[in-house]
Amino acid sequence: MTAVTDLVTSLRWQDILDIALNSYILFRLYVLFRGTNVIRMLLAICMLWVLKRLAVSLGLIVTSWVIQGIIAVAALIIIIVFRNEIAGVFQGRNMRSFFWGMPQRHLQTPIDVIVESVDELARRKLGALIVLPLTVDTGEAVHGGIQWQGKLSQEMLLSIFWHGSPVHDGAVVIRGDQVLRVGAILPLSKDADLPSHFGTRHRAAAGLAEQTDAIIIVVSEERGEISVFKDTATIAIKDSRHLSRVLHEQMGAESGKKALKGQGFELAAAALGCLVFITAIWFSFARGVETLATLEVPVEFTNRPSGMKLFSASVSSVKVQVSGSGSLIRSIRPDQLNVRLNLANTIPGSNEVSIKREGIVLPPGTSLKQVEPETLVVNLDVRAEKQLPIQPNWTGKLAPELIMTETSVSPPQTEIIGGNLTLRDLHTIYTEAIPLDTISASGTTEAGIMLLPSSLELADTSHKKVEISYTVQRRPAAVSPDDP
Amino acid sequence: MRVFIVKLFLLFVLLPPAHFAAAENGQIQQEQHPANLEARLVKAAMAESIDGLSPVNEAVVFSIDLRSLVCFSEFNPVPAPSVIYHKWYHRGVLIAQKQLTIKPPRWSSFSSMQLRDNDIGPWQVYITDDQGTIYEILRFSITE
Repeated sequence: MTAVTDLVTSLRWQDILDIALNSYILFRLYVLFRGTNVIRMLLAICMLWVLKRLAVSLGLIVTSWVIQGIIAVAALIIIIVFRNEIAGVFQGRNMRSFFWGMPQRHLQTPIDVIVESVDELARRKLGALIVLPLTVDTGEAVHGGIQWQGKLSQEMLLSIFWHGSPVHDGAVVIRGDQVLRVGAILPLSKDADLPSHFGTRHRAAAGLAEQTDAIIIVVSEERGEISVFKDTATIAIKDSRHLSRVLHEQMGAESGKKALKGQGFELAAAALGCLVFITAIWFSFARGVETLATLEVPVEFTNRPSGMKLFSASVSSVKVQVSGSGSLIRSIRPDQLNVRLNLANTIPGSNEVSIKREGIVLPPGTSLKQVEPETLVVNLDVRAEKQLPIQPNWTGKLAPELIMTETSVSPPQTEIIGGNLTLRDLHTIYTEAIPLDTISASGTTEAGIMLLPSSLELADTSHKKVEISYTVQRRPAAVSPDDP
Repeated sequence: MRVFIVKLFLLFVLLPPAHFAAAENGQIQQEQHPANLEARLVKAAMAESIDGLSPVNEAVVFSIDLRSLVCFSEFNPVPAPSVIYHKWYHRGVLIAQKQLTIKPPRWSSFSSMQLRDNDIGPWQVYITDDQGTIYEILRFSITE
């Protein structure tokens, strides 16, 4: 009990917001996809994931691999197989409906209008084929026809199936109170056991019922009989009251208040489920087995006094030891960790600055254990300029018979930018190494200016090289003591 | 007191016009000059050696094989006995500082440096007075 209390009291407001936000996102996804096969597949994938974790914890290596493979394939299958359903969820919705609002699961289909229309069609022996799609999209199975998008009425249905109408032979697709399509062609059933008196309309109705969960109403042109097709069942309708009851049963229509209440319970249960699920995931990530990790983090130097420049630091990165759940520690990216060194109180020269706890930014859910080193030596200085003479840096070996008697550098000096303290002790700047081995007579050569320490800069970066003129002479012959 | 003044007078009057005297690492040649002038450097050079009070093989590049080299400086006039320094720097780091005394009326002096293998690189010798005022900087290199 104490452990649970400790766990709850240790939550920060950010953690609660984290859980709430993600629960709401999951709940909105449920609201968007509920009633579709996608949500069922997602639930199946969740179950597989739980099984996989179980298999991992039990040490069932191959089983966990297989389940992982199935999950990967299932995710692909969802996108491919249910692309129309996914598209249907997102199409025709405004941005507001993604974040707010509860779309009605069942559009209110005016069953009474349909019943009265069908009864009238049967009485007049006008053949009719009416499709009422439910959860499964019929777009794949229904072909042809004309887009209608008209409000459903008895007169409209009668006029569509009137003998003189050019679309009276096809099917009418009704969703809610809208006639979506007329003159549509349905797939014919290949079932050989259908009654012999069934005509093409009946076969088409049976064919669509086999492929989808739609309700199809058929009015026989010859006998004026009404049949309802759902899945593999065929219901012969006796009268309009029977048709009304069948439609109410098959379409799951309930009284408005009762339906709303049921929907409210469903959504509340879903919201609670989402909250529990996300909370469980959050705790498994944020409060798992504590793991320690040491990360090399670059140091950021902040609040440098104006006019001063940082010339060197004893280290450019520090080792930060953090602890947290294994999942969090494994998911840490380098950019989530920051170590900032406050240079506000530094002076020109060498400074020892300690890394403060508040200068270390860690990813949420992790805590700091250790920083190494805790103190850095930083050298700051005021930028200054100084004219320095340039001296050639000769290397190699001059021919023994030669003597280099004179050199001159053009320009003889250059302006160097660097730290005031550095420049104070600097009196000469050198060229890059100039080889002597190839020199046999007086001449000139070019050499670059070598800037040491590397914090130094040339004021005039367009002149990075200097010209060196040199004079060499033959070494005088040694005078022998025997010479006169 | 009177005897002391007479002796001092005789010392100045009877001294020969010029003489050579040995000094630390140096030779002097004196002449009569007014005492109110500052010492003036008339020649400074790096050389392989000294022979007969003159630098031998003046150069700006020396082989480490020489094992030693000298810095020669000549002051004329030297109004009063004073101290100068030859400060030897290797890559900006002071390696040695030789104190030399110069005396009127003119004085030549030199300091030498024994070379080791890790002395290869650019060098400078600062010739200064005892106040640190620089007469001249000699720049040279020691190479293989």
